[in-house]
Amino acid sequence: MAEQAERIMTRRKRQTVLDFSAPEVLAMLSGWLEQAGVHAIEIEREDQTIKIAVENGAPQVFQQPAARSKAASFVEVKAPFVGHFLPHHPARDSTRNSTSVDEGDIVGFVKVGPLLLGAAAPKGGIVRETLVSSGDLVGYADALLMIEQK
Amino acid sequence: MASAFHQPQRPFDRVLIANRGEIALRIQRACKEFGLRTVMICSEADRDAPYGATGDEFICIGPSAPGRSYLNQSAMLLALRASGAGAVHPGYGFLSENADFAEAVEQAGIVFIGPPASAIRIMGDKIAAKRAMMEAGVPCVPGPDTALGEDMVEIADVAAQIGYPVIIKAAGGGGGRGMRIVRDETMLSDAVSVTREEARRAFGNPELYMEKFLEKPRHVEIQVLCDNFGNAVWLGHRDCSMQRRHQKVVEEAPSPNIPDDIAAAVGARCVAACQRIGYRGVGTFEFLYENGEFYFIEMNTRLQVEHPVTEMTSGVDIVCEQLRVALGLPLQISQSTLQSHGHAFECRINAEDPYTFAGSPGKITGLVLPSGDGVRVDTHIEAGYTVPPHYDSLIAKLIVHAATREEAIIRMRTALSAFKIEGITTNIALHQAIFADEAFCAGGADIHQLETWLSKRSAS
Repeated sequence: MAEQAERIMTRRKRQTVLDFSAPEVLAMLSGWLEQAGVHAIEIEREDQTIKIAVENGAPQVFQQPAARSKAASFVEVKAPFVGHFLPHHPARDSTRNSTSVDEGDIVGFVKVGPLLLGAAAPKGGIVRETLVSSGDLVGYADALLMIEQK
Repeated sequence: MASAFHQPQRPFDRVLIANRGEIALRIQRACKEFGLRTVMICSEADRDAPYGATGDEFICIGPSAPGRSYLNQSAMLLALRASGAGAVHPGYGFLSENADFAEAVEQAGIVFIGPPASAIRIMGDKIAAKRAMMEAGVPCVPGPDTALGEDMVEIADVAAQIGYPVIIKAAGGGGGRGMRIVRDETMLSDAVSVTREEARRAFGNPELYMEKFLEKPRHVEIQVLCDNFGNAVWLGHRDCSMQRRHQKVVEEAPSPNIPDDIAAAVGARCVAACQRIGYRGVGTFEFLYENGEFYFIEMNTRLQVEHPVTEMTSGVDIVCEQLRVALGLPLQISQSTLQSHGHAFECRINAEDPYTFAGSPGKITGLVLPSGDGVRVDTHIEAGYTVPPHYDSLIAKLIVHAATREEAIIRMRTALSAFKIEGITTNIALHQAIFADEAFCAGGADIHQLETWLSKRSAS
């Protein structure tokens, strides 16, 4: 029993419906720990980390928001061919309605004479930066835009 | 040069250089001398090549595989359109002898710096080329100027008339591929059927022709230059007999031990042939030379890798003359003013094992180029440059010029010993061995000498 009391159990759970800030949830978890003879439990999820330690029969709760677990991930939209970059179709409104794009969306064009070739988003996400100016000569696979992945 | 520079209305002022490596830089140098802007192109493998930044523009046209970039006609034509270039210089290799590409460029209203597509097409068909040369009085290897039929009895008659040994060649072949030597009638039938199938698969053209096989010829070339006004000159001859696997290794100008009057007579016939077919720009007539006789084998309708040795002995900048002709200007040189001075050699420095010829791509960690009077290095490499594995292994051309052949040999030996390339394997050791070889130094080696020497070396 003493050994069990000394045991620390750590669980990681990415998704839960439990609200760890609710007193009844904390009371329930503390009760389970006492019954199981577990000294402490730490639960980590995307929005917060919670640690419950049972000391002298009184549970203590430590909560903190989770550090952003991953750096933002970016992908480049590359030119499909050599030509002049256009950020939008010349026959359409130049204002982009949304910077949010889905994978495969056409997010720019490369113009060669009468040809207009679309540059597709390799991943869905938010268009964070346009790397070339409208009308610039770009080469095959040159980076045109930067997308922060969803 | 001044008149070209100040030409009031030029047909173009921007040239796209449809090539890579040393020849792209060589062409760029000539363009700069004419005040022409340059568009350099590259594949993804060459995107970080330091020489790219030396042009006015540097654009990637496709992936590393040559078929999707340097050999991709559509990509090249779109790059021409997008860059606003008024002319394209194809260099050598890749699209330089592609008649369809030259035609597409012409139809797009862009100047192809080379001969008309029609001339490329004729010379690309070895039978048509031979017929054109025979009609112009250029000496050819004995054999008919028509394709072989299907009837083996007739084929055997042709061989008997020529006299064994004969060689069966693919009409669309070149570079040593699509040919077979036949020493007697028993070998003939198999040789014809195998070569025909090879030609069909490799060149898409099953036509074959037959010629007398010369046992120990030398490979000698005549360089010509023609403008749009009917003017044509030959700039001299050079010897390219030092070959391995049909690839030239060392070239020299002039070819040793060829009497001036014999060379002049052949040169004049080459000029006449050019005028007869309406040729334009630079070209090279390739001959086999044996027992004091020239035998035409093919014409290259482009700038040659080995053009610098002729530049050194003739004093003519061949690439500048190409540009002059493309700009619609007349030649400023005439046959009577041309003379050959001294002797020049070129060593092709390749990123490969000197004896197995296995490619050696990789990063160059250290580089010392030879220099001094009469020493020229045409190259695109520098310390830190990575030789990509996708292309020809040629990384530099070392050219020397001196008053005599003997002095040029000594100059080349010194230059080779000063040439240091670290990080990759090169064939400099092979060149040093060639320039120490007594038979080579004596001059007049035949086209089998290097292969024979290499075989003996590997056997010992």
